[in-house]
Amino acid sequence: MRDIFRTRRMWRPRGELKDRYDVVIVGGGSHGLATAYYLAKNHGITNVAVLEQSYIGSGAAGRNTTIVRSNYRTPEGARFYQRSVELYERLSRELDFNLLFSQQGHLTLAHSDRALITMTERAEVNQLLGIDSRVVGPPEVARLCPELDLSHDVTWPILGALYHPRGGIIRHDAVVWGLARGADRGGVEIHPYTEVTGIERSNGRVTGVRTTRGDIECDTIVSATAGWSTLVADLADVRLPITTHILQAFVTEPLKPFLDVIVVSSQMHVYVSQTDRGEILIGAEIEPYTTYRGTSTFPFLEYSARHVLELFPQLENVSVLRQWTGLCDLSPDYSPILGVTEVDGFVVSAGWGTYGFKAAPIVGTTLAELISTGRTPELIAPFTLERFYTDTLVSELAAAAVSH
Amino acid sequence: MRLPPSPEERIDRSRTVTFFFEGEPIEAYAGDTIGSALFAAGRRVFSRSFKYHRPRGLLCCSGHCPNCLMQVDGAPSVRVCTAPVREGTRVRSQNVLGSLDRDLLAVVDKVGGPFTPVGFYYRTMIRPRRAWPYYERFLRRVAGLGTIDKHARRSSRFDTEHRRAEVLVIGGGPSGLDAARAAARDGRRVVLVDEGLALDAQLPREDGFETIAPARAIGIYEGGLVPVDAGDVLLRFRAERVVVASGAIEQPLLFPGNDLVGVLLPSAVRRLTRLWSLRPGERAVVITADDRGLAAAEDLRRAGTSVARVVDLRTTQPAQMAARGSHGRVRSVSVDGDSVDCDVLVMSGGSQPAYSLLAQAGARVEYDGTRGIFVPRDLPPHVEAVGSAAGEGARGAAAVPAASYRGTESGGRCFVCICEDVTDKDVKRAIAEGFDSIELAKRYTTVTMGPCQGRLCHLPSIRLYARETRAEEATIGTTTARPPWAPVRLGLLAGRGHEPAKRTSLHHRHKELGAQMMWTGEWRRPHSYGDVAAEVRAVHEGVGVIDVSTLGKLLVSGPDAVSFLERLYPNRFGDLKPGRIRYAVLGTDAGRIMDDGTIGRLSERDFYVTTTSTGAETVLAWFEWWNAVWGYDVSVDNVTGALAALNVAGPRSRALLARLTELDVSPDGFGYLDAREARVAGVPCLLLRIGFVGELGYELHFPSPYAEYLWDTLLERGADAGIRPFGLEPQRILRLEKAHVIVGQDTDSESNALDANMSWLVKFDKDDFVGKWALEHVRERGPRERLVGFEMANGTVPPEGGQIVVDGLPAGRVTSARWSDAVGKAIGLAWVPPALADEDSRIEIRVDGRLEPALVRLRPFFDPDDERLRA
Amino acid sequence: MSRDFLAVELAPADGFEPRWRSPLERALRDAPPGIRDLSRTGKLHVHGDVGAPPGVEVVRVAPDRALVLCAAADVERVRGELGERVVDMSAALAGLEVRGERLMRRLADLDLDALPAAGAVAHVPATVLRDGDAFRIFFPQEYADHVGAVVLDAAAGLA
Repeated sequence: MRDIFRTRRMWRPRGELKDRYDVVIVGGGSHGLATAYYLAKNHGITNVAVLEQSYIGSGAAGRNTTIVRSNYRTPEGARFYQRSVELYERLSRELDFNLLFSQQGHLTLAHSDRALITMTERAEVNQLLGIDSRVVGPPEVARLCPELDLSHDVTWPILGALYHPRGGIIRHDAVVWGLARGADRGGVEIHPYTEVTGIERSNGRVTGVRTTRGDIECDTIVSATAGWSTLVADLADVRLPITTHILQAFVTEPLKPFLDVIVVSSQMHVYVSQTDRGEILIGAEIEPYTTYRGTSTFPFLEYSARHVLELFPQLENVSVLRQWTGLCDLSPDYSPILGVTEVDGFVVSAGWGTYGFKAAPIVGTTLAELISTGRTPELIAPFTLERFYTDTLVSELAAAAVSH
Repeated sequence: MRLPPSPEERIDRSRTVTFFFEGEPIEAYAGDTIGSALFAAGRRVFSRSFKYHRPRGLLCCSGHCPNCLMQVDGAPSVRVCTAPVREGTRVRSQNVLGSLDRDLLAVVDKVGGPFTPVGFYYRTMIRPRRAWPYYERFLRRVAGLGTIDKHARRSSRFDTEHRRAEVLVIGGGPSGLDAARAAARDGRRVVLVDEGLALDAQLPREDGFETIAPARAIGIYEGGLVPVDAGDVLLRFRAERVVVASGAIEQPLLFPGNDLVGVLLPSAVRRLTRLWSLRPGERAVVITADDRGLAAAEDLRRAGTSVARVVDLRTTQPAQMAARGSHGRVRSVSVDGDSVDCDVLVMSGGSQPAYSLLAQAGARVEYDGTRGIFVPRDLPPHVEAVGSAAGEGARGAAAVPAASYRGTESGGRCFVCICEDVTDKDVKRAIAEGFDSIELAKRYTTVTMGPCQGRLCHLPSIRLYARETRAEEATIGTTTARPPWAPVRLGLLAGRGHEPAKRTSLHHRHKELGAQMMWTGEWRRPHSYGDVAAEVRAVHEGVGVIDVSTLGKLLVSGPDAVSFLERLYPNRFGDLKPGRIRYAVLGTDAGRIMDDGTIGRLSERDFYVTTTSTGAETVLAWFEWWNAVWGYDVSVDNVTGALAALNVAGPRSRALLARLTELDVSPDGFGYLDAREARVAGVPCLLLRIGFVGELGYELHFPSPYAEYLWDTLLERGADAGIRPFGLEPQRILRLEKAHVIVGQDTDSESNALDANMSWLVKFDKDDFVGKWALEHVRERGPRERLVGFEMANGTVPPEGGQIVVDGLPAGRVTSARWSDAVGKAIGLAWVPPALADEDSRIEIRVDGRLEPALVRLRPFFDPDDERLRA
Repeated sequence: MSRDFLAVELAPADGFEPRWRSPLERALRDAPPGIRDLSRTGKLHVHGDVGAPPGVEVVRVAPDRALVLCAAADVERVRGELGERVVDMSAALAGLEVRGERLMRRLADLDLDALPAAGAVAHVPATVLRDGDAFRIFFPQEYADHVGAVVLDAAAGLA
């Protein structure tokens, strides 16, 4: 408690780049920093540099809608994200930094019987893997979220929901800062405002990176760059089956507690939660067109407002304060591409769509293990890039229309 | 108490309006705002601050700052300084425990404690983990401002109007008016929108251009889209040229006590004295970096407030400056140790161009060191800035030191951001902790993230930040412009909230017959008409009719129609004779099942293609895409809505049809999978003899305006045969008895035709078709899972989506399951591992957490040899 | 086989008297004056270049496609005159007429000085024509209840 009045640096000021690191991590977001943190903490690998083109957490890590959950459709996905939730639950204490993880519960609404079938499938898979997840009918939806409009005379009547009690929201910036502080204390160097402009290779393996602040030699490069994944992979001549799209969100003015559960509707392309600052945070589906241009659009505000008011008519006079846009790297089966590539020493964490933030700690632990041992951990074996060549996809598509 | 009437005042003293504040009636004049009326009634404390619950009073009177946010008729966070009074309006304070004047939470300001340092919550309440939910509940309770009545319904009407203008001028100040006049003189179609706040906002209704006020531009979006908040109408302007004349925003000074009640910006003085004839106080001090402060001093004198001291920062630079108060209200100001008593303190830190709209439109925002402000540069081609929005005339900020003024003693807080209660110490501390880029510092301290959207805190915080990090303001850049420019209500954005919904021509007939309607894609369709079992029975034993108008229907015509379809589908059509039909599955280029339907050949070069109800638009787009790529001589026409479709099915369907048509419907004249054109009850129909529900049946496709007529006629003429309309639920049971697949339910985005036991539809000996390589790959590697039928050993119906369990883990899934009276069993379809995909294989399905045994079935459960279907 | 099953205008046959019903009949039952049902207008889709036979209106809705409007009684004749690549869409499209620019602005994000044009009306794909103060809107008939409701609601908002 006394500690809070003392001013202590979170991390060292940015220093000069060294000529050589064992591992260079491209991307100072939640994945890059988590990988750096666990490399140092679990494996004692500390000659590591995290290179970030802007400030830490400036990309997807600082723009996502902070939902953490594990009620996925595929056994591979559910198992993986469940480990991530468990790591997140411990992370505040581990980092000695309160990430404000609010496990308030996550409700995915069903407006059609087809949607209920998909949710039943998810709940059954989840339960077999020990994940708290179940399909609830309208009376329990009403109990869990009395604010919802459950009348039948609406465009999208609520027929039930997939309820995931351990799903929650977490302060995204805190995750970035906590991991950055942990990585820094572990000895890792963090270099904001350092952009990677090239990847050096020799005999099919990486040997270094070129940056806007000079060249570096290294044995391993991790690309954890979300919306920019394809551009970074291109530098290593690795082709990723990924398209980049924008995802938009907005917050309202802060309100006293109104909503204490996360409400998602795939059919209405909207999800709603209340942050611990009191803002109602509303996000949408990935826009169908591909772009690297993060421009916010007005129609997004209009249709989201329409849909939110259908669920919560009480919010009619609540005002929108800010909207923003993030880039999403979408893979064909909505599962990540994680691990080694055909270029030795070039490791990727990509193809996350809207799921990246949820996976930060488990990506960090598994990639750190992969780098340290040279072996792909079993948990991430299904997510190799190779699966697109062998046609062994891990499809979260049926669950993914909107799935934050 | 009002000042004597003046010609300038906006109030009408002959008309009074009564509204309620905290339940007490308040008298106001027409022309008052809620804020001016409350001020006239003696109220000085208008809100409590976000974190410290410090008393706050009117500051800008221009709708910028957060100090007058109140609940008005249930709407949270209304800026009452600009909200006109209305009879009977109910106004309440917000974020207060107790009352505005005695807020129990103000203890936070007094005792300090753990809730004061910036980012305290990241460092506390970490252990024990069990206690966190309680801490969190407390945190949430103290956060937030307004409250929402959880039982409220939508009550206001908001409309949306689409407007066009050649030139849209935003802001009706002198520069905006000049720009509008000039454009109008050039013969342009000009519209000017104004927030209606400026003193001279009694805008002249001029010839040559249209003026809309009060109306506030929300943003400048791509494509020249400028949405404008005009109260209860959202005006969606599309303009060829946008002229931004949004003016400048007065900036505060940073000194201890700068948030006390009684500290005013010059605009507040101007508006209080001139518009509403109110005296801001008895004795004032003015500290200013520009002429606005001097003008305010003049206004004060005219209103009878004595001006005890004017400090012009352009000529004197004090080293120390602080305001002191009691009960949150300013009582004295000390400048370089010289203390002056006062109850009004006017501060003017210069003015900052209101560039947010421009930045959002794509302009770069650059720091102008000589003037101490940010100015917009590199405007996009269709956007122009004029007047003070462009930085013209803005000066004064340069006279303001970048650091905050020191107080005489410790204790007085100096606020950089009054929305979020962020002090200069908080900013310095954030920098010292390593949050050393402006974006990081912003995220950590939350400065600029409050209701004023940075209007009053952006410039001071960046200047303070630059000073503390010893960086040049120009190198820091600004934080990202995030629209909207002004808070905008969700109701206004939503408009009337109509969502397009598709209905078949028989929708109202279904409702009249008591159908329960259910969603299928964009359509609503009858689940049943109340008695599912009887509807199933009617089809098995007599005759039933179902509305299948929702099927997608495409005409594919042209000399290349055969080549086109053969390249799209894995199946063959060249050998299909006119008048015959073939079932077909459409695949993606990755070999996945995309849709299914029937393809009937009408003539050598005309095909009639049906799709699933939900797939029609996707398939149409798919067809048009490939048609464009391949360049065939084929035209594709979507006739989905042109034609209604009815499936008349059951052993008596033939006899019924025979009464209504001259067509030869005998088994020889009109066989299974034949297509015919004929009149039925006088309506021209395309008749398809197909049988999704497994009994003898005919699909009638005919012009939709005759749907009710033909439906009525069938029910009337079939009454003696026991005809019943049937819904989707009976149809699902009937087709499941035949193990007919529903694409999208029994298949998903990863299913392919081979694993789904549809290899008879895939002709590998064709030259090429979409997805051929992928299906060849599937054929080589063998199946990963198979779609099979199953029957439950004990009659329990498993849930759709239920899991096939092997060794305690998910190994497959149930896609369809129903009880069938005709079969006498619980039956279903499921994806199972190939090793279990044999007749009589025993599988286990999880039902309510238990494992229930089932047997795999590879043939239809009912009429396995299709004798009834082909009868 | 032909495509006669798309034809809306029927000669009575076999002693049956098929009754045509507009998709907008119910939706416009309580319509104020100025809103008219035009669903029985003849509508044809033509691929490729179109010559305009007398008595018809031609609206180009895509580079290679046009919507041809004519009187219901003339559909058969016009169809013959337009050649092979014509599809009778009379039944597919509902039509209505509204009066007043203001009402039209509440329905569609279209440049009303640049009509006819294809665009969204009440969030539904439509073709809009203008004759002075009157606007004719043609759209897929399955949206008739929706569009009818939106138009009446918008009119009520201006009343």
